[in-house]
Amino acid sequence: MAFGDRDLRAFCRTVGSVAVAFNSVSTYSDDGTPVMGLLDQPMQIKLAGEGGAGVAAELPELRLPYNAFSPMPTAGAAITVGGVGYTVTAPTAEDDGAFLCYCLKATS
Amino acid sequence: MSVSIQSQVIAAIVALLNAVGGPRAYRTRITTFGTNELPAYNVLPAEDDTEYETTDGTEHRFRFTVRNTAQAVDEVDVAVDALYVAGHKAILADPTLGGLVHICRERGSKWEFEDAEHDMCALAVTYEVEFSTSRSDPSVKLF
Repeated sequence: MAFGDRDLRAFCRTVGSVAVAFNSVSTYSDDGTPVMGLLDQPMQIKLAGEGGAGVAAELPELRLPYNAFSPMPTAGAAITVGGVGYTVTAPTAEDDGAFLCYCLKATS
Repeated sequence: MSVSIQSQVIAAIVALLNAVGGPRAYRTRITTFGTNELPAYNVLPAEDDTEYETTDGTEHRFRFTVRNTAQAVDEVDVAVDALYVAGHKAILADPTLGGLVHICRERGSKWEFEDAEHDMCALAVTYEVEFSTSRSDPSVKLF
């Protein structure tokens, strides 16, 4: 069965989610409510230090259904996740392409 | 217990950097920093070369590293550079570190970068101090 609106809403109801806004336009949904995206476990990043402590940081990742926006964000696009502004990196598709994965860079 | 001149140098540098105000200076911190602890200085001992020019003394060339670390949305090297300038001025305001060493000088630096939610950057600056100690006691300074 093809991935579609029904799958998207089921996904959003059953998994923790955050509001995502892009291009200052209403996000796609089948009943007028905002489409939700899921913040995955952030990628663990470390600035290694030679002989001393480095810095542990995180690179948040956002998974969006392939049809959450039209068009979908591309590299460098501004996006708001949970009210926080980010710039997205080039997306990568997961498995069957139903979801796109973006890394988020803070804008402030 | 007596404290070696090396150790006194590290303590002096940490004190000088903490007197800058703002970023905290840590001494030989091995535990990983969290992003909420930046910007920060971390002072780490490195290596010591010795020579023997007198019968009773040891001439030391002791190196230590100051890691200047910060994060920023963009141009993170600028944020680190501000740390570096403030710290360097504090360290070399008195190149004898209050008479503890003959001289203190910068010997080089290395940049490190990493990509995360905010850009992270560290500038590891190596300094060298020269001092003389008793051959039999590294805590006794000779002039």
